[in-house]
Amino acid sequence: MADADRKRQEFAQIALPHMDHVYTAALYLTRNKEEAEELLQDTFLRAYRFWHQFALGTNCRAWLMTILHNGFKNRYREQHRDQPTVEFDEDVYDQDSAGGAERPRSNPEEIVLSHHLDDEIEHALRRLPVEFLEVVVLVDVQELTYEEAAAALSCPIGTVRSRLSRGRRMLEESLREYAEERGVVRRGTYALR
Amino acid sequence: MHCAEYRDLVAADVDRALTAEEAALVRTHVAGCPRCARVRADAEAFKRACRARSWIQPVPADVRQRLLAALDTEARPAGSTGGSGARRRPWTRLLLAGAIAAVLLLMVVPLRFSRTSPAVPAEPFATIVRDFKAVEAQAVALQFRTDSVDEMRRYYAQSGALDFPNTVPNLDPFGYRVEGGSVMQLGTKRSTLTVYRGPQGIILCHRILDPGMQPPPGGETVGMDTFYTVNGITICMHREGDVVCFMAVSLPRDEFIRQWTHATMHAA
Repeated sequence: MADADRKRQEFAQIALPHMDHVYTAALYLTRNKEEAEELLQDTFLRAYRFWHQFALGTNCRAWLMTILHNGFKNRYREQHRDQPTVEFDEDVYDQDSAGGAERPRSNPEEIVLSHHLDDEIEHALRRLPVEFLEVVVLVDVQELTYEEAAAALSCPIGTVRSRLSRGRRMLEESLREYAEERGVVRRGTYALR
Repeated sequence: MHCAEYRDLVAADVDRALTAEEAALVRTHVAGCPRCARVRADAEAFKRACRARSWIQPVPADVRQRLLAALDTEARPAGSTGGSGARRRPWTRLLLAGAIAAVLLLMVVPLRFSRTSPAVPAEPFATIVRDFKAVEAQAVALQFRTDSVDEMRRYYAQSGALDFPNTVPNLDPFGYRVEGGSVMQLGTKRSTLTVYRGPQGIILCHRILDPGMQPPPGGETVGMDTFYTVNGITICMHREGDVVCFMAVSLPRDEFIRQWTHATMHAA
């Protein structure tokens, strides 16, 4: 088989099945459908050009995410830094945590899996500051390991740990507010910690 | 360390992303700290919820077509106008072929052939068949049991016993769920053995690092795969870089290809 044909066949077999995952990550990162489509196309064209650098047998989705994040950083990240995002106050969080020990609470699963909150969950995720959003998307949505996420973002594993932990808590906090507003859980019953 | 400092580690422990020493440290703290125990309980619940939720959004058909067209342009040889030159299969067809090939690759699907295979060497096939029978008879205690591909992959990554990158294919779309796995030996090589279970029984996947291994005689090579039948077990040898994968299933080859091609066509 000619090299070009082999490359096409390998790419179709190994890389293209991840198209939906790459598109989903691009949507969350750019928060914009047109930009997500551009980023998707840019990612796969680069992946095809540099296919010889992919090590067969390793995680192709993680490799594609590395390309995606490089493209995102080069083209979009700065402009998305200024978008309104949720804030997270560690002190408030700690007070809630201390006081919440005696309160009844509902399980986060009730909220994350509530079909009444589909739009809010998407919205809450997209409102995360980009540095937290990146790791939440890679680990919780794309199911990459911490090592793969760290490689994709070119950062230490410790940074992945701390951003993921904080990003998840921010997400939970947003969802709790939505859930209380929508009456999915009673106000005050969802103490995060 | 204070509780606040443990928080990041608690979340990482839930994700099985800590070293054994770090995990022991965190678990000791959590056992004596109700507040951090709640942090852990919530983190576990959140992780379960995230895994249960379907996040992935399909690429719209028009976007997909534009991407495949752009790839066609990218793949066209320099100087080619794409008109009357050598004809290439379109990506859409390659994708379908790729989906089927992926199943072949992952699931031991030989193309149809009925002639009797010549004799195959004893190893590694005898070991693979023995492992297959033992797992089938539930006579093997897997080192790690999980129904999560992600957790299985993390277990291998954290075992520290492997000298090669390991992947764990997700066979959920085809009705086979991971059941667990072990780090063990296949001949002189350290290997992973991953077990899947589905409506037609089990699938075993052994993976070893062996850059120089050639397909043993007695098999039938189809594309990148070589297929063997040993004691009624169908075994596929597939190379992924330096890693060799042996997948074993008890279905007859013809039956297997019929089922999996059908499943793949409906999944495509």
